[in-house]
Amino acid sequence: MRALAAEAAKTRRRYIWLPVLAFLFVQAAWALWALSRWKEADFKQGWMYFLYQFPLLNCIMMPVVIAMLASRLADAEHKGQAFRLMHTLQHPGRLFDGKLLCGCGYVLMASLLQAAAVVGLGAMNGSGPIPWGRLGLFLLGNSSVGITLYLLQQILSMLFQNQLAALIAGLAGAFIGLTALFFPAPVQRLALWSYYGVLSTSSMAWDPETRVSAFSWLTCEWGNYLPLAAAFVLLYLTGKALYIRKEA
Amino acid sequence: MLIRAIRAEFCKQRRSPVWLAFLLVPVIPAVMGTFNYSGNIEMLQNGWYSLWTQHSLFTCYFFLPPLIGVYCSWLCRLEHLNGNWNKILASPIPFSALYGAKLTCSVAMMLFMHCWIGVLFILSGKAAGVAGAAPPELIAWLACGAMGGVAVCAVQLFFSLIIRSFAVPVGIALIGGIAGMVALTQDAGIFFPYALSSIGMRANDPQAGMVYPFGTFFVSCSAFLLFFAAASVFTVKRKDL
Repeated sequence: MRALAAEAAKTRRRYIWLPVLAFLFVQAAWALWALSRWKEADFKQGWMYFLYQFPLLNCIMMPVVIAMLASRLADAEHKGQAFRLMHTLQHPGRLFDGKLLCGCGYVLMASLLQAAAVVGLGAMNGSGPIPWGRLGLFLLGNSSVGITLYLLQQILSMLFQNQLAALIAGLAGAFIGLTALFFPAPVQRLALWSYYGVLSTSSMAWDPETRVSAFSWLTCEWGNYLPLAAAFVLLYLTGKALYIRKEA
Repeated sequence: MLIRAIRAEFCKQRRSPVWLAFLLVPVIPAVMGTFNYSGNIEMLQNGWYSLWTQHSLFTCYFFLPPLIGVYCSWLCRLEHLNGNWNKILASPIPFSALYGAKLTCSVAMMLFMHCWIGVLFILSGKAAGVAGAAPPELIAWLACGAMGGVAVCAVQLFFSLIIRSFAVPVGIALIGGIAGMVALTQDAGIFFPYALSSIGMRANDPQAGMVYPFGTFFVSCSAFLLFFAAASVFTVKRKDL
């Protein structure tokens, strides 16, 4: 808790939340823009549409947003060359955990705000009763992928003083995630970044002849969370060990 | 002085793996575009032109601006660390020369990337079995895309100069790329720097030609370049970095 409080104190007046909020605003604006092009029939499948579209937007944007977040949280020490000094005050492992908890807080908050945006957009357009179960799954999937990606980005941002590597990894991750979604399901499961799409609760079928998109609910496959959980544990153990052993 | 400043900038980049990012990242949209083309070949029947839309759409909107943003942030990183701006600005080099050198470096890297995008396009077309040779318009698409890219370089360099964070300008570039797509659908792309690459590359419809006359496009690119170059020099001279 003290490590987390110390991290929170470091972020004071740095407006770390501002870029995250800006991206959520862009996503909501995108959804509103798409709404303006809706036809009468589209409103009936509104919830499915939003719960399909937001994970897809997350797949494109969130890896970069999370890379930004991790980079900014780690950059405070890199800029002041303060890691060595920090290690005299707290164990490197606790510093790593403190930053992880702090970053996860931002990721969770972003996921909650996004879920709230989905509720707001759906309710605004009279898409029927709120599917709380699906919304819960959306929140769970979003947060799980976000936290795992944040861990990966934090490791890169803390290990390399040059933040180029971390940002490029985020950018490349977004494209790898999106590219993987064009491949069959087993390939999709190989890329961490594509899990925003893999864990999506709704799917879309586009008819090229009528040019109409039909959405449907997907059954939740809990097994899809296993590779993600395994990746988190593996990344946490190796990343933390590498950081502890690294010369600050 | 400008030549010497450019040499100094290239000195800073020696043995840095930054060029690898520009070499490897464009491969991803090329692979993605080619697979999308191969998977929808019954609908995408215009051969090389259809393949170009698949390659350039993702490139222009989602990946080119952030990649330029990363490079511009990296170019300013050394100066932002350890109060190096104070040393640089106290040295007998006019800031305009320093800015010119940084802009030249970012434009050079962006041009390298455009050439590489062209090579990847031809290789992808051959791999996907597209009939015939690559269209001769490819050079014009890349050249006009690069002109739009120069405007993006100027904008991103401005943000990277005034914002100390490495990551924030990259985020601005990503938002800019997405906003560029929206601006283009509202017929306002010519007034938005991040949409210029897409207009130049004819990402939406390469057979139909550029949506704006070349003169208008050129004026828009030049105006954004001059405005942000002047804004950068003006701001740095008056702001405590």
